[in-house]
Amino acid sequence: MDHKSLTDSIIDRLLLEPKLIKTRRAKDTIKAKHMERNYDVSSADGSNSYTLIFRQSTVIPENFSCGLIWHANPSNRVILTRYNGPGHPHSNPIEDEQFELSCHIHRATERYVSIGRKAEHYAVKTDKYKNANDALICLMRDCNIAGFNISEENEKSQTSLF
Amino acid sequence: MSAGVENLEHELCRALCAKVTLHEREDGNIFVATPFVFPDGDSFSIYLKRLSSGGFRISDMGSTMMQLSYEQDIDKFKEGTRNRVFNQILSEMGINDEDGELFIEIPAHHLASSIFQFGQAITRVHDLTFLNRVQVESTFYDDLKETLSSIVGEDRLKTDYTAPDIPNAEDYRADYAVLGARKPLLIWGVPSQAKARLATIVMQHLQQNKFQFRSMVVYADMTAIPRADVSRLTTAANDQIPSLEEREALQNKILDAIAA
Repeated sequence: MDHKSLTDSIIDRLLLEPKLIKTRRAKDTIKAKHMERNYDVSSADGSNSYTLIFRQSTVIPENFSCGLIWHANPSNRVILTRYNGPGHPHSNPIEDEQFELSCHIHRATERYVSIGRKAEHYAVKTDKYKNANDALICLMRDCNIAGFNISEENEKSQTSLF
Repeated sequence: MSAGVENLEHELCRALCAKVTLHEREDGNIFVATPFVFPDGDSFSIYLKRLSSGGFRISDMGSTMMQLSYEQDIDKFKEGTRNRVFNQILSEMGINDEDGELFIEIPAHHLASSIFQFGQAITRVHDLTFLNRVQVESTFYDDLKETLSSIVGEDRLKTDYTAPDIPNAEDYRADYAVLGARKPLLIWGVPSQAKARLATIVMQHLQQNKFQFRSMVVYADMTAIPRADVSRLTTAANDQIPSLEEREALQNKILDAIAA
């Protein structure tokens, strides 16, 4: 499927379908003043593949982002959602709204895809988490991702970064 | 300036000022919120720090590379064409790169213009994401053709050359041929591993069928091609040029080849 034909109902279905983490031990890599870790994820029925990404700045604690990327086809990946820290402002041009330094959740929407914007452009402010570890747990819960206790692994990395 | 334009200027300045806000941080940096945004609506992260000299350090604290890492392997920015363009952008914009942190140090009276310059630099770095593999290869072939034309002249350069009297010749073409010498000089551009293998196969087919020619390979970046593929090409080709940056070597080898 091409990402341009994404509708809100397909996005909902993708976000909510049960998923499993396939990577038992993902590697922490420090690159360009951030730590990155990627997990391979598949839908429980095996029909869809995703990558769960985790990024944490090593110099600005509130700069972090966890996201779920759908592999629409071998050459086309779509970010369905990203749970960002409060490190920067965000603006939603269609809604004509901007918010300052707050945690915010990006979510793919049909309306942004239809006007040629990035699928995940739209974001909403949130107070569901305050740090990268909690953001990842929230994302896993919201997107129905199971597999193993990711929070324990994350606690160790967070402690070593700051 | 007419009163109308003056009012407009005043309005515009006021609106632009309203879009720039500063946020003091506990670590001593000041976050500068500007109207610059990434394609996903997130604002650029720009930080200011006072220098003991009285000037400022403007930095992204590595956030641009982190933003790019969501969808890109940022190690690619250290290789080949992307790396060349990346360094060119930084050089043109006067930006430094310290382990992925982009920054500039400026005297205090250049602060406003430097913030814009920094924002422009981040925009240009982010646009490197459009430089995908196909576009990189396409740019390479355009550059190669232009370089070859400037060396031998457009009249002597033939594109997509098919050797005469060779079985299945249509399937075994050279990217370029320089005609007019005792033996034609056939040239293959090699931007990828796949092309390195194809060029080897084509050369071997022509050699097996006793076609008389000289061969040359021009790599987009020889260091990016696996050693085994380079080794096979080294055996098959008369001459190799590691990259288009070696223009003088390319010119000398071509002129030697067509004089032979």
